[in-house]
Amino acid sequence: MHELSTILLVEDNEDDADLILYAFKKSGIENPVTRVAHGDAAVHYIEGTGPFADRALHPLPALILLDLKLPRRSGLEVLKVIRDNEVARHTPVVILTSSDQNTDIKRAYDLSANAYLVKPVSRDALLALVQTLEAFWIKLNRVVGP
Amino acid sequence: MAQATHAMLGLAATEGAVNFRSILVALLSVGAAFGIRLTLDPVLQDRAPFLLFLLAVVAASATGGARVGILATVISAVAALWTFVPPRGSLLPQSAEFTLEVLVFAAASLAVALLASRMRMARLRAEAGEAQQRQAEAEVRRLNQHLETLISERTAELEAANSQLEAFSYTVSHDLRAPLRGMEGFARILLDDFGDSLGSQGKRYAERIVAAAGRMEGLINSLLTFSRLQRSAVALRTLDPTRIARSCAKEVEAAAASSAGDVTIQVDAPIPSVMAEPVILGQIIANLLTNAAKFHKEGEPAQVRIWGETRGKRVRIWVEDAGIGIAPEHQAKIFGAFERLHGQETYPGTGIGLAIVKTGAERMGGTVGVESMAGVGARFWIELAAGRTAQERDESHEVDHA
Repeated sequence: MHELSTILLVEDNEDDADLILYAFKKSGIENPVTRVAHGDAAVHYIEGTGPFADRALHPLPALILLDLKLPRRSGLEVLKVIRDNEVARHTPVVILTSSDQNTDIKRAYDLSANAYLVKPVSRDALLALVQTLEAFWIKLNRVVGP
Repeated sequence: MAQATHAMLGLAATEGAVNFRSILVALLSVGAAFGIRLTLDPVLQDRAPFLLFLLAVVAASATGGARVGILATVISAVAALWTFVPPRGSLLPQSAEFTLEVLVFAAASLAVALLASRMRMARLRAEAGEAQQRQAEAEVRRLNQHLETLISERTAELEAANSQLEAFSYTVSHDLRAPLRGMEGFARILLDDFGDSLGSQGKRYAERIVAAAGRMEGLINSLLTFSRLQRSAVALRTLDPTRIARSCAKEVEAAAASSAGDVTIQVDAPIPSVMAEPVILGQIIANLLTNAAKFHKEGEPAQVRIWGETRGKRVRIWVEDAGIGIAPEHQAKIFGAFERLHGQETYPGTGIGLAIVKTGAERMGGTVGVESMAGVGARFWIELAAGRTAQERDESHEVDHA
């Protein structure tokens, strides 16, 4: 079951989103990855409102990859919504961002991020990162069941 | 007498302007003396015609100084001679006895005036000194306040500059890397998935995009390391550099192997322990080793050796290569940021590695240097405080707790 659970990718940069999706595909990870491009869309998805009202089509993700610098609503605001949401509060959230600023890292962990990763520049490093993410968070890690 | 007068005039000249109030006091004193003497005249008759006038001269001198004292003396003398010294109604004394009394009065008055004037001068001088001191103190307070304002202004400016710098390094780390990921990532996808249709020329170009992105990433990382080095707090502890040197050596050899270089790095264990911060020491050693491996002679493998020696309470870590070396005229400036002696094609690099070495060493209370001859190789060194032994640490703990 776990192998087929959805991964939610919150990423505004088209290039980064394409490269991450490519890395998932290249690594042979078959989980459906839904990508949203801004903070408001991420909140809609988590709360099952607006365009994401149908849970059959848009199931709650087993893993959320969250960029910090997002239009409309920042990644940290999205993270707060997730942690305040009755259903999604235990969902693993991995911050995947360009920023390696200590203040960002601290604020993310203050809001109970599960992990904080910095996007690598090299494509090979990105492949390794995606494979590790899948192996740990999707295959090994146990989440709170429904 | 003439000398006394001269002295008095001299004093008078330094006393400054005579004010109206002191002349009034002189006139009133003399008037009062005249009135009382006149009242007592039926009792005293011709005796002691000058007695009370001396008091008037004292009062006048004390208030107005020597000149007013002399004025009071002259008026008193005239008034007394005319009114109380026989023959009354004349300024000339009747007998030698009264002439003597006039002279005694004049001498006594002058002495009083002189004394009073001296006292007054001393008092004025003391007052002036006090006023000057008060003024000086006020000036010091004012300057202090000015300094404090200046300091707080400068501090605010520095803090603003610092936060601007932080915002800048945030932008550098966040925004400049984003396009690089696109360049690197898509060029690699082209190479991996579209290699056949690119042809050999196209593949080479795509590889150069990847290499250029890698160089730019290196530059951004070096810049961030350098700017962080200058700003972050540094906590020193006793470290064994041998393990750090070994792990850096492995990394540098691996990086060289991937770029078709032949590098051997010899780590002479053990390197004595030093007081350092592990991340910074790692950056310093990695930069020195990378540098030593990079500047090898063309066609020759890079031979690098790292070892340490204790020099009193300091430890010097040496990194030696048999490469192209550095001419003496260039040795002074190679530790500056962005100093490069060679073109990008011959020896690629950002020109910031040795600046990281120098700044890093300085942040840890250390020094750096180089010994080299062009064509013979180079020996770089960093010198840090020697690490504390377990015994020294225990002792300092005891001291800390005492």
